Amino acid sequence: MRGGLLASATLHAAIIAVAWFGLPHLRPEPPRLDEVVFARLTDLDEETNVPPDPAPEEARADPLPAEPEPEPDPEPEPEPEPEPEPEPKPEPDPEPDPEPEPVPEPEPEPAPEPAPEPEPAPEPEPEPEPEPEPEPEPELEPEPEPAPPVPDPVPPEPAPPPEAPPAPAVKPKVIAKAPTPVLRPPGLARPKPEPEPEPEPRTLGSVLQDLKQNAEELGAASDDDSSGLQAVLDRTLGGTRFEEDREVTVSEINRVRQQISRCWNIGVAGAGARGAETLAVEVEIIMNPDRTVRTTRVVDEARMNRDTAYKIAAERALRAINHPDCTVLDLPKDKYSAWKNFTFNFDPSEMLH
Amino acid sequence: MPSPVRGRSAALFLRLLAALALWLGLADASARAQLRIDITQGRVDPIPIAVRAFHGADADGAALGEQVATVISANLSRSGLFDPIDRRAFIGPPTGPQVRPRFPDWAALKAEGLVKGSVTRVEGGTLKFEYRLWDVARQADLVSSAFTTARANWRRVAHIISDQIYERVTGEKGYFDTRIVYIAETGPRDRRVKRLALMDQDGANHRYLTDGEHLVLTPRFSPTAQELVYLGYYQRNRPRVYLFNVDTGQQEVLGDFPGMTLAPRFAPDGTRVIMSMAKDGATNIYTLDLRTRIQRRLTNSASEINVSPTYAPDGERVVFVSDRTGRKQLYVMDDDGGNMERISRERGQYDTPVWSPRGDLIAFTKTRPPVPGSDDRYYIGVMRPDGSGERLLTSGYLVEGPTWSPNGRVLLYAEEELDRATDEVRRLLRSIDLTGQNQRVVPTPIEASDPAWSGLLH
Repeated sequence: MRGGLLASATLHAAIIAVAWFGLPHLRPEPPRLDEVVFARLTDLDEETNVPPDPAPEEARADPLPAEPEPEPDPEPEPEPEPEPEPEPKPEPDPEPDPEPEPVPEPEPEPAPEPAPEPEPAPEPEPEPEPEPEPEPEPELEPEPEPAPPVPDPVPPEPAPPPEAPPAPAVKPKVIAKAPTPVLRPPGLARPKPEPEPEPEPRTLGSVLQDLKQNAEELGAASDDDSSGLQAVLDRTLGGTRFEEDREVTVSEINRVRQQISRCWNIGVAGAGARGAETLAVEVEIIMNPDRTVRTTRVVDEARMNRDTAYKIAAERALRAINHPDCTVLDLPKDKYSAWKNFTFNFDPSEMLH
Repeated sequence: MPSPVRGRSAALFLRLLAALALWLGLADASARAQLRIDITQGRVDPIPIAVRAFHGADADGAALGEQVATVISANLSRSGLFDPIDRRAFIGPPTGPQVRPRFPDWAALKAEGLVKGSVTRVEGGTLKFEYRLWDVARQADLVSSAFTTARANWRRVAHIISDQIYERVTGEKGYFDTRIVYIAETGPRDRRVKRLALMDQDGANHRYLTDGEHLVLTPRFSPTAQELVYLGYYQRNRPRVYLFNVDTGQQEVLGDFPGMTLAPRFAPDGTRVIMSMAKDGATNIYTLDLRTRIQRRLTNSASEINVSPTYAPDGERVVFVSDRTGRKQLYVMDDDGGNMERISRERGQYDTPVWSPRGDLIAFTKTRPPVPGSDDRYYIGVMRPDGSGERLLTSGYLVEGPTWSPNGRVLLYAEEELDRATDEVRRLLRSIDLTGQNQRVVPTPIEASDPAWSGLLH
C-alpha cells in the first residue's frame, strides 16, 4: 500500500508541477509530408472546444436524407437552439429528402476511429476507416513506426510522438459503442447544426480524477495485463479526442480554393467597391462526410446588421458556397477529420482594380 | 527481491506516468488549429439575373407586366453590373411574387437573382405593382416592395424597382430613377440651333424645354433635381442665369452676372451657388448666397483665370481650374478660399472638374498631345481629391464635360466624333463607368452636347 501511496503522491506532484510550470513540449513537431503547411493556425481554444454554433447563417438543406449521427455520448455541450431557422420566410417546400433510407455511405463519422478489431494491432496503418470506399490512403501516417506503447510495462521514456499511431491500438473499447448510427426520422432530416461530436475537452482536473479512479481499479489487475493500461488510457482520454489527424496538403487546399474561386462572383461592383480591403468575410463551415456543406455561419454576424457593404459581401460569400458548382467541395475524402469544420476567408482586397 | 505489491505499484506508477505523458502529447496535438482557407480570387462578372415578365390578371396587365420587366432588364444590363438572362429561356408562364419559385429551374439557367412581380388593377383606376427579388443559390428573398400609382407612372415604377434591385445586390444606391438634361443641337456649324432638352436616363420621355430661338448653354441640376439652371442669351450678348422648374415649366432669372461664361453650380445644400466671373482682366471664383444675395470672392488673381468651380458633396471643399502656372491645372480649396492646393500632377492640361457625389473621386477632362498612331487628344479621367490615383477612362477626338451619376459610378460626357470619310463631326452623349469597360452611347433624337445628370428623383 505504501507503493500506492507513493505513486499517488508522485503523480499529484507531477500534476501540480505541470499546472505550475505549464505543459512541457514533449515532442517535436511531427514531420509532415508537405513541408509547407497551410496558412494559419488558430489557437488551442478553437480546436478543442468547438463552439456550439448558436445561429448558423444557413443550414443548408442537407442532401443526406438521414445522416447516421454517431454521437457517441450524450453530448455534454449545451446545445442552444435545436433548429435555428435562418430564413423566416414561409418555405412551403419541405426538406427535399423524404426517403428514410440510410444514406449511401453509412460511414459513421470516422472521427472516433472505430477499429473493428480490438486487438492492438501493431500494424502501421492505424485507421481502418469504415468508409465503403476503401481509400487507398495515399499518404501514410507521417510516422508509422512508433509501435504502440502498449504491451510492455512502459519505461518512463517520454511517450512516443503520439501524433496518431498509438490511437488505434489504444482504444478498441470505445469503438464498440461509437458506430451506433442514429438514424434520424425523415421528418427532421435537416441535421441540426451539429455541435461537433466530440465531448467537451477534458480539463486537467477531471483527467486527474479519472486517473485516480482508474488507478484504484487497476490495482487489482495483474502486471502483464496490457489491456489494463489500454483501459486506463481509454477512459482517461475520453476516446474520441484521439482521432487521426492527418493534415490536408497544400495542393489539396489549392484544389478547393480554385473551386470556390470559380463559384465566388464578387461582381463588377464588388471589385470596385470602396473599402473592399476591409470586406474580408470569414465563414465557418461544418461539413458532411460526403463533402457537402452542412452549415455555414458568418463569423462576424453582428457586422452584417450594421454594415451594409459587409452584409452584401457576406451574402456573396454564402452564394459562392451555395453555388451549384460548389455543392460538393473538392476535398480529400479520406481526411474528413481534417476538414469537417473549417473556415473560409473570402478576401476581395487583392481584386481591386 | 521486491514484493509483489511493490512491483505492482511501480508498474502502475510507470503506466500512469506514461498515460500522463501521452495525454500531454495529445493536448499538444489538439492545439493544432482548425483549417482556414483564404479565398483571394473570384470572378468579376456581371451578376446573372432573371427578370420575369410581371404577372398580369388580364391581357392589358400582362402586356404592361412585360414592358415593366423589359425596362428593368434594360436598366440592369446597361449598368454593366448585371447580366439579364434571355427571357425566352424561362420555363412556364409568369407567376406572381407570392409564388415561391422552383429554384432548381433557375439555378439551371445559372441565374443568381430572380425578379418576379405582378400588376393588378385596384379601385379608382390605379394599378398596384408588386415584386420580389430572390437569391437563387440561397433560396432566400432579398427585397420586395409594392407601389400603387396611376398607369402613366409605370416607367418610374420600373426605374424605382431597378434601383432597389441594384442597391440590394451591389450595396450601392442606384441611378435609374433619374433624368438627364442636355443641349440638343441642329443645323450647320455657323448657325447652330441649340435647345434645352430633358429625358429620363434611359432616353425615354424626351422633351425640349426651349424653342431654339435663343442660345442656351451649360444646364445644371439643382440638388433637388426638380430645378435646373442654365445660361440663356435671351438678350443678345447679355447672358443671364435662369432657374427652370422642370415640373411646372416656370422659369425665372436668377441673376445678371456680366462676364460669366458658364452656369453657376449649386452648393450641396442649395443655399448658395458658386461660379466664375471675368472682371478687370482676371477671372475669379465667387459664391452667391441665394437669400442674402451677398457675393463673396474666393480667389484673388490679378491676371490669371480661375474657372469651373464645383463643390465637394460635403460642401466644404471646392475644386476648380486655374492657369496660374501657365497651363490649366486642378486646384482644391476650402469654401472660403483657404488652403488652396494644386492636385493635378501629370503631363497635360486639365479642365471641367466635377466632384463625385460619393466624394472619393474627381472627374475631369484632360488634353495632351496625341500619342503616335492616334488623333486622340482628349481624355475623361478621374483622380482622388488629393490628386493621387489618376486614371484615364476613355479618350477621343473630342470628349469633354463629364457629369456623375448620383451614385458616383457612371460618368456621362459629350463627344465629337470625326467621320474621316466626310470630315464631318457629329456630337453625341456617351456614358462610361469607373471600370472603363462599360462604355455606351446614350441615345438622343438629334445631336447632343453638355449633359448634366440629376440626382435620384425618389
